[in-house]
Amino acid sequence: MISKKIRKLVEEREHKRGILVAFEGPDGSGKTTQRKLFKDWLKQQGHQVVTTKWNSSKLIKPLVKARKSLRALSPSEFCLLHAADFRHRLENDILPALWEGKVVIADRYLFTALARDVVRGMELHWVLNAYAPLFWPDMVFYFSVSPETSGRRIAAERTPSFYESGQDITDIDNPHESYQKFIGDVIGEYNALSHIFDFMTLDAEKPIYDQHREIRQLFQSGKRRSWSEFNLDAIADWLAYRPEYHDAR
Amino acid sequence: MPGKKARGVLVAVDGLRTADLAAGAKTALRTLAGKGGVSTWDASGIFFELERNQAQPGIRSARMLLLLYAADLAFRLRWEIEPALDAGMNVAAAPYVDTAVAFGRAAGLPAKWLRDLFEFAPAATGRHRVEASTRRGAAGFIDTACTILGDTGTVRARAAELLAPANLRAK
Repeated sequence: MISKKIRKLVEEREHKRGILVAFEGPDGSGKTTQRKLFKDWLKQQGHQVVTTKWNSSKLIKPLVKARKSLRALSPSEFCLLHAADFRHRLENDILPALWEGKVVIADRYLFTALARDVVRGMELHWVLNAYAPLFWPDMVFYFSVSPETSGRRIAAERTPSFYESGQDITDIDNPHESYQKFIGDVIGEYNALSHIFDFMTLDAEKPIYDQHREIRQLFQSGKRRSWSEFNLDAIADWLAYRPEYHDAR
Repeated sequence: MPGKKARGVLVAVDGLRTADLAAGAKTALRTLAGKGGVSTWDASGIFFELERNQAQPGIRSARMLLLLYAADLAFRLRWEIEPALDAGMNVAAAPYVDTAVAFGRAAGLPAKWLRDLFEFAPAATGRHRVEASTRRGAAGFIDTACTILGDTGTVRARAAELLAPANLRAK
C-alpha cells in the first residue's frame, strides 16, 4: 500500500524530473554510436545527461564477470545476477539522476534481459518478476537490423564471447556460427517485445546521420510516461531507502 | 544392468543463524534412512565477494540482496542439491527458501514477488525450523544481509519472529 505522502511526492516531482531514454537492439546495431551522438546533442541543448550501460554496476559487475570468464552460469543464475546488477544501477544511478531532473540514456535496458533470457529458456513472467517492480522508460529506441547484418558487423570487429554468442545454449563450437543462431532468436524476441512495449523502431541499416536526425525528431515529439500512472510502485520501493528525497523541494 | 537408484529426499532447514542451521540439518538428516549431506548458504561465494566489494558507495536494497540469494540458491541446486538427490542421497538445504522469504517479508517486500522469485526451487519433502541460540559461529544470510542493509535491528527481529518454529507449526 503506497502512502498518500509518497503519491503526492511523486506527483509533485513529475514536472521537475528528468527523462529516461532506452537504446535497445542486437549487438552490431550501432546503438553505442547513436547513444554518443544523442548525448552530445542533448548536452548542446542544455540538458544534464547521465549514461548507464548494461551490466555495469561497480558492485555487481565483478561478480558476473568472474563467473562469465569461468563459463559457470546457468540461464537462471545469468538472469538473476543481471537483474541484481540492474536493480543496483536503477536505485543508485538511474532514479537519483531522474529525480534531480537529468536525462538518463540507458545503453540497453530491461528489454535486453527479456529478449536474451527468454531465448535462454526462461519464462517471460519469471524474468519480469525478477525485474519488478518495473520502471518503464519514457522512450525506447529500438535499432533494428537483420541477424545477418548483426553477425557481419560483429565478425568484422571481434570474436563474440561465450555468452554473447549464446554458446551456453546453442551447443555450437564456432562462436560466429553460434552467434548467428543466437542473435536470430534474440531478434525474434525483440520483435515481439517491440509490439508489446511500443518501441520506436529505427532502421539501423540506414546511414548513421539519418538515424541520428530521426532520433532527435522522435525525442522532441515523444511523450513522457507518467510516473504516477506507470512507475509509482518502483519509485515508492526506491524512496523507502532514500529519506533524503522525501523533502519535496 | 544395475537398477536405477531411488532419488534422495530434500529437507529444508531454515532459521536465523548458521550454527543453529548446521545442528538442525544434522538432526533432520538423522531421521531419514540412507546417506545424506548438507547444502549451506553462499556455496557460490557471491556474498563473500559482495562483502569484499563493500567499499563501493550506494544503497543495497533488500530486493537486490534477495536476487543474489536466489542466484546462490540456483547455484546450490545445480551443483550440490540436484546431483546429490539424483545419486540417491538425502539433502538438508540449510537454509532454503523460507529464510529468504522471512527476510524479504521482514523488509516489507510483497509475498507474491518472493513466491514468484523462488518458484524455480523444488518443494522440499520436509520443512524444519531451528530456534535461534547463542551458539558461536559464522553469520548466516539474515545477519549478513541485515548488516549490508544497515538494519538497526527491526528487520532482524521481524525475520526471527517469522522464522520461529512455532510459526511453521501454526501454518
